[in-house]
Amino acid sequence: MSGGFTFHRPTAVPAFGPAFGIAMLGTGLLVLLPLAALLLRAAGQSFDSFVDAAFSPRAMAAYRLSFGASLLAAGVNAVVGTVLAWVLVRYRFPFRRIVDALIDLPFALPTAVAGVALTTIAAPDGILGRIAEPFGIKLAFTPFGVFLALLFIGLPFVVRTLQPVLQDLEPELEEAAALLGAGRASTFLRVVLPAIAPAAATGFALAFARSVGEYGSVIFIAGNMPMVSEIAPLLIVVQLEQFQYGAATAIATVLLGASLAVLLVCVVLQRRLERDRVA
Amino acid sequence: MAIRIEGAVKRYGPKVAAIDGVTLETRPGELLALLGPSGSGKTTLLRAIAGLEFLDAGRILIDGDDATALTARERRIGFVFQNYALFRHLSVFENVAFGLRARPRRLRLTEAEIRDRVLPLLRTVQMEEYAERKPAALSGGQRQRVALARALAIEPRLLLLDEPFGALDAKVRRELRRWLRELHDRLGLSTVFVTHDQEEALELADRVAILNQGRLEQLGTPHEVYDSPATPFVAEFLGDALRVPPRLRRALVPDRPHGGLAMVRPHDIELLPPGGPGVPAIVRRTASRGGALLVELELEDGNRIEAEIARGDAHEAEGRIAPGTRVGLRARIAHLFDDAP
Repeated sequence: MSGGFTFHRPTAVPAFGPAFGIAMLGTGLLVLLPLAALLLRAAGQSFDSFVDAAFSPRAMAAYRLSFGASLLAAGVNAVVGTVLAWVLVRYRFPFRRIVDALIDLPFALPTAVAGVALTTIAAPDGILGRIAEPFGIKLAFTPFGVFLALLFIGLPFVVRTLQPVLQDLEPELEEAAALLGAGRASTFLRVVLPAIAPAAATGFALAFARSVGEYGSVIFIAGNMPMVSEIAPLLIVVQLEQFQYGAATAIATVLLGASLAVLLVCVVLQRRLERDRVA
Repeated sequence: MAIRIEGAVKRYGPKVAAIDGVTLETRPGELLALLGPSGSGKTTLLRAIAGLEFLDAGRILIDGDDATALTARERRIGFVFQNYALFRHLSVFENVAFGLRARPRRLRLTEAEIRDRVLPLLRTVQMEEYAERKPAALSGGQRQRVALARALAIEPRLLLLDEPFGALDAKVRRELRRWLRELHDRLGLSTVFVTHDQEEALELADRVAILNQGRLEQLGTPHEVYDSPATPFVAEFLGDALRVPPRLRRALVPDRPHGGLAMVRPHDIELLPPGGPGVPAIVRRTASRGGALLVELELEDGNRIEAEIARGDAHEAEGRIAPGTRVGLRARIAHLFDDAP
């Protein structure tokens, strides 16, 4: 093959064949096949019934809530998580390891447990609920409750994405900034943040993706009022329970498309940040 | 601008002292080298001067004022890190301008004033045409010059350099060394640099402070520390030195035949004709070491020592240093120390 397309350039790393085969098989069976089945199922109905189910007022309200609350929660988590990761990496304080371990709790906790726990504190007679009540804010059984649950489950994604990056960030950079007269806040904004922005974007994307699909921890606290506090994944379940398979797959298809679009934007954004950082 | 360090102690853990009671003072406008092997505390001392490490005991005085409690931010000291620590996301220009932009609001400069400060500095370090480049696009030597310009931009009272030539290859190193010395003479800024390379310290510095295990062994001009080492450590660290065994003492160092420890540098060993005074030995091997000739000599007891003679002398001594010839050894100069540690 002179100058033509070569599928696999020879390298010193052995076992390209088997490794590539397993990787492709895994991707195909575990990722592409279910998605293809979903799209096929969704396509099995008439266009009108697809549009009716996918863009009914109830479905639109559910999308708005799911994507809106997820974006908001991921955004807040990107900020809070970044600061938290910085504190955990840069400072030494009592119980640091315990705090560090607690970060993983939302990962490890069964989502239903998280949901019950969050509902308990957010309910009108719970700790948080009682604090919010005088301000006229109802936490549980409202869109705000959904946001709260998503905040909880998204945090570790940001922290765990940023920690290794911050660990690799030479402390000399922060020392140099201090020697040049920059304060703590200014050092963080002008030196640390630009260096970790790509990782923060990744953390945001992961938290967002997880939030859109989150079900277990949300349904307890949300109250699930159609048009008000009903998330899109729940609407899919509702449709399935009523044997409306077409409608369920239609909603699922929209959810899939929108999630892919958001992830794509995140990847592009992250690439751009990465490029600005070095070149 | 002079700095005085008094009884500085910095411990890492109860038993490990990185610096263990160092007192030294710099002179205004001088270029001082902190020289020592790794683990001697030289970098810790430099970081303590900068305010990046806090001392467990002792004081740091800047121009007579106690600066021990000042933070790095308040000390106005220029620091060039070994890895340069340039801000990767900022251009060369913005790296140098960083310190000017970080000023408190009431001292802040206009954009034009910043340009007027940064561009001459970039000219000084010969980086003017690279102003818009990012650090990733620069060579090691260029990065270092940018780091230097960045440190100078805040008009520091003192300049500190941590292993300034450590990460560069030999040729760039030598060029930069000369350039740095010229720059120092032009700016007249008090400068302290850390190095583990004795040649670099002796060649570049006005005075050299030699550290070992967190203690100051000697502080003096390059000639002083090389010609009259205060301790056996200094003698051995600044070039080779042979500890003269007692049984050879009388023959090798006839003018000071006993007491304490005598040390002799290889180039201070004289080769005499055999049969006369001096320690009898046989030449085993010769090797070229740049401008000098290394002569490996076997003593009568089978031990080997090395002598070094200048190339010019080597020609004269040609017949006397061929392998297998017998010679007598005598020390031209010996360094004497009270106690053998």
